[in-house]
Amino acid sequence: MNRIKNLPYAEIIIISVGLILAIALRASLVDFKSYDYLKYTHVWYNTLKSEGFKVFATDFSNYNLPYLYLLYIVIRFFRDVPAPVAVKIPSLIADFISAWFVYRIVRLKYPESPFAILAAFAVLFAPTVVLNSAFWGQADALYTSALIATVYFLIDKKHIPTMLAFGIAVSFKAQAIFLSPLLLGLLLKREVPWKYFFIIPFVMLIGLLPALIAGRPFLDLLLIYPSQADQYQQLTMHAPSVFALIPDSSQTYKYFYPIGLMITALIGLCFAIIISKSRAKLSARLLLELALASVMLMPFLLPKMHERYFYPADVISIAFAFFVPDFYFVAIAMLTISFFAYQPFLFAQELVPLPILAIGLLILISIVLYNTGKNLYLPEPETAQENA
Amino acid sequence: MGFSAFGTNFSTYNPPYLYLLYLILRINPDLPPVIGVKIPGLISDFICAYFVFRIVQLQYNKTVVASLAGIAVLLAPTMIVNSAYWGQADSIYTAALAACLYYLMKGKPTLAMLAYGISLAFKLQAIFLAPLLFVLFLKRIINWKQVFIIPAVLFLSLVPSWIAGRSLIELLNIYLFQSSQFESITMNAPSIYTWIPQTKQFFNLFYIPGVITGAVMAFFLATLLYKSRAALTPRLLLEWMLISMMVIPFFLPKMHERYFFPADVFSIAFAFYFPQFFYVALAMNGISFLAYEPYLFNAQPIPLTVLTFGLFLLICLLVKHAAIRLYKTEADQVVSG
Repeated sequence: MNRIKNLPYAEIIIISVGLILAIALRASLVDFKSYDYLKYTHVWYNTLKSEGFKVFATDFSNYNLPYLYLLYIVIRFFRDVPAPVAVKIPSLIADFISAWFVYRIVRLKYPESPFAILAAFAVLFAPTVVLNSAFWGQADALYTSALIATVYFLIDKKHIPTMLAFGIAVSFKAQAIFLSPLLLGLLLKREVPWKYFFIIPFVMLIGLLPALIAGRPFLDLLLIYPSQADQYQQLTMHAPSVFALIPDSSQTYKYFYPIGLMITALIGLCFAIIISKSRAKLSARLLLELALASVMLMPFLLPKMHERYFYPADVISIAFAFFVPDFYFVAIAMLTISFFAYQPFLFAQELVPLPILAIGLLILISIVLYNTGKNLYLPEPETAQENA
Repeated sequence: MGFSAFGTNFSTYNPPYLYLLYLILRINPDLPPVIGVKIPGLISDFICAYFVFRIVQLQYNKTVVASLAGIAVLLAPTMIVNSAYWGQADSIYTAALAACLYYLMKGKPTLAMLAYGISLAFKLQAIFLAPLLFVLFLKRIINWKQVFIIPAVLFLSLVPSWIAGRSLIELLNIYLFQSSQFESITMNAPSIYTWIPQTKQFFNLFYIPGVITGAVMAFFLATLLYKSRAALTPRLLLEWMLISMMVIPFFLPKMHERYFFPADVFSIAFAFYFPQFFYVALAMNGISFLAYEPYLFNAQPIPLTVLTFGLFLLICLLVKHAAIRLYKTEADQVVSG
């Protein structure tokens, strides 16, 4: 905390004004009730409020428990907060945690310039970040903030916090595994000692403890993830993924759902092997780029993705744009594609057809992958590398 | 009714334009009204062109080049259509903005503030420049005495109406009243709000967030400029003038297509300063003109959503270019990652 005291006053004013605007913008959106709120979160909210902690013994919600714990805490301590706001509070706080870790990541490269602060505010004001938590009331900010922390600790070579953060991310949402090809690659490369990987299931088990204490059977808890995967029978839920390019019918679903899973697993494995075989020095820039490639590629290939699942890609692309200014267009394109993909659900309109967004994203991913591959196998001389 | 009409709220428009109109009526009462109302705008077309000429002259010694810039402004499609055809008054406050920029580039902040005060008196849209001026104030290029010229000019502009009998509070409310006049999230402006549904429900949901978003963009621009250690050269001032005039209306709700008028004019001056960006002027003017079509010609050859996308790309390119120029030294001294 000493660092904050040493900031010159101009910086404090800039940060305060930015934070006030970030809070004001969220406050102006927060009473909106989305379809998801009316159908799910509102119901959980009411159950938690009327039944209290003992409801964790039942399967009142198929959602991952950590969010529900946070919701319970909000209800417990702020009983008077209106329901549409209360269900959003955990994610709203996570918005700021994501911004904080992006700040830390960008500061690794620019300790002196204002870029780190600007990057953090770019995250706080990114359209999908604002809409996801404050407007829609979704919880993607929660696991993403833990994923950003994972990336930060990874770059900073702090392996135990890396695994803790990743464990937290996976506990919040299974989507956190979008980063696993990178982690697997680092494991194969022995950058990260294998025994640290046991931290991940350990953290996940701790996440189940409160519900166990409340009396829910252990096996029930283990089935939460598998039951979620069966929830919808569509190849893509507005996600600009590869499945936006083929018709979505029960016929295509039957064949392409398993194929999609297998191909993604294979490509994820290849991704990990390509990392492990490279002899390039894993610089901060390269790790960040690999993280970005991983969280862009996985949801693009996987079936059953929602438009929101590119949320980690949105946030990491901002950090990457500040790290490598020549690639600023990746962040802009990624955020724009995500924003347009949100439109069918949030605004009931489709300004840009989903297949076009998917092709745009495919081009973007190709650019990132090509450049990542080049950095892994044809590293430029040190001096030229940071020629931003 | 004559001058005594200024004692009433016969128009919601800012008084200065109405004074000019009154002057014209006094000097030549026989002028057909359709021409009379356009004369202030038509004259300021030439004032705009003159100041763009002077601005470009600062860069090139050759008068020919600067004259070309002035002529380009006079022949720009939105310039022709706005004043002479439509009878709008955007060229008046834009002329004053051009004067403001010219005097800033010349290092004469007192005259610049005078011009800015006049601009603001004519139209509230001059406020788009406020973030840039605020940074110049923080960087002590403008001192606080010069800042006070702005409210002084605004006050003076209200005095004739005040004398005619209108209350001062009512006069000050003109600006506020204007901003609550229409109820549409975008009035054909190629702004981000063309990307959300144009319904009452979404207006209510996004109007206030939209105003905050405008403030956020002002905050980003001001921070970027303030934190830079680069010298504020005339070129840089011109670039930031253009950026302010493009970015702020792009992110604010309730904008009219005409509100990009200053961007049209300054993009032409910018093209002469940065010839490699000549296409910014072409694209900006082209987008603006196409955005005029739904209102003026009841036609929409290119959907507004697409125009918005084009303007978005232009803004990204320009801001990137400006940011690199501002932080070139810092980017060179980074810790190797």
